[in-house]
Amino acid sequence: MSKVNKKLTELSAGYISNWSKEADFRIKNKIWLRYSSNIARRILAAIEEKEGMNQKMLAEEIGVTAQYISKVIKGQENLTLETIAKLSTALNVDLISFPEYKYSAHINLNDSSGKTDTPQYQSLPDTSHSFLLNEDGEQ
Amino acid sequence: MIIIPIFVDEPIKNKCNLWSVCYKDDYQKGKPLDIFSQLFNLWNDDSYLFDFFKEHQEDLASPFWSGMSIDEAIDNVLDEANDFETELRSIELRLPGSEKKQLSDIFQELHKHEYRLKPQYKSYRKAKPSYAAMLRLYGIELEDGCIIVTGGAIKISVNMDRPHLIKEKGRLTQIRNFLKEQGINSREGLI
Repeated sequence: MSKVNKKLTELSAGYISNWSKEADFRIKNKIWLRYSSNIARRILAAIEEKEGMNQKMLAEEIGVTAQYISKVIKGQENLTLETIAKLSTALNVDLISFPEYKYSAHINLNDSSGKTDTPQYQSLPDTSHSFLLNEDGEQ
Repeated sequence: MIIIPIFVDEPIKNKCNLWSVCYKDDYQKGKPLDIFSQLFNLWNDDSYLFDFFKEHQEDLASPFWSGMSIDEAIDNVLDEANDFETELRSIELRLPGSEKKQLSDIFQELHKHEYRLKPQYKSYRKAKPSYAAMLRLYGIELEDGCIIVTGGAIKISVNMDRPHLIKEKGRLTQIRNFLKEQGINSREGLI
C-alpha cells in the first residue's frame, strides 16, 4: 500500500462508501426505475397544475403517508398498479398509456381481393389506449 | 470531516483508487454519508431533477442546449449517471473488458479538478449524438493517481458563476487545505 493510501485509510476511520451497493441496485433495476421516474415526473407536474393540491393532500386522498408520496416522486418506488390507478384518479391525469397493437384494430372481413376468410385489421386513429378512471373508478 | 474509500483496488499494477469526502454534517443512521453517494442519489432523484431544471430553464433555453425540454434533460442525467455507475462498477469488479482499466481511462479531466465521463462511454450518445455531458465530478488527484471526490454538479452553464457551482469551488479549497494539514500532497505537489 502506498504512503498516500495508508494516510487516507487512517483518515477513513474504517468506514467505506455504500455507493457500490446502491449502484448495483440501480443498474440491476434500470428498466422499472425508468418507468417509475416517468410516472414521478407526471405526478410532480400534475400536483403543480392542480389548484390547491400538494403532496400532503395527495397522500390523504389516496390513503398513504406523506413520506410514501415523497418516495414516489423521487422516482424510485416499485409502484403497484393499484397505487398508480389511485394516483391517476386523485390527480385526474393519465399515468399509464398503452400503444396500439395488432388486436386493437377494427376487424374488416372484406379485403380488396374479395376473399372473406382472412380478417383484415384496420388501424385506429387513436394510437394509444388510456386507462384514466373517473371518480367512480370507471373508464 | 473524513475521507472514505468508494472502492480500493489492492493489486498495485492495476491501481484504481477512488475516495470521497464526507462532510461534517452529513450522516445517515449514525454513519457518515459520503458526497459521492449523495451525488448519485440526487442524480437519480426525479423530485430533485425536476426542481433543478425548472430553476435553470434559462440555461436549457440557451443555444448550446437548443431549448431542450425538462423531460429530456432529466432523461439525459439519468442516462449519464447510469453510464458512469456501470463503468465504475465494471472497473471495481474487474468485469470482462475492464480488467486493466484505470480511472484515467474513463474520467476525462476538463479543467483542473473538474472531471466528466469520457464521451466514448456514454451509451445514450449513440442514440442522441447531439446531447452533451451535464454531470461533473470535482476532485483532487493525488501523487499516486488516487482521486478524492470533493463534490459534483449538473453543469449546464458555460461559466462557474451559478451558486451551486461556486459552492463546489469553495469545497475544493476547503479540502485542499484539509489535505495540506494532513501532509498529503496533490499530483502537482502544490495543494
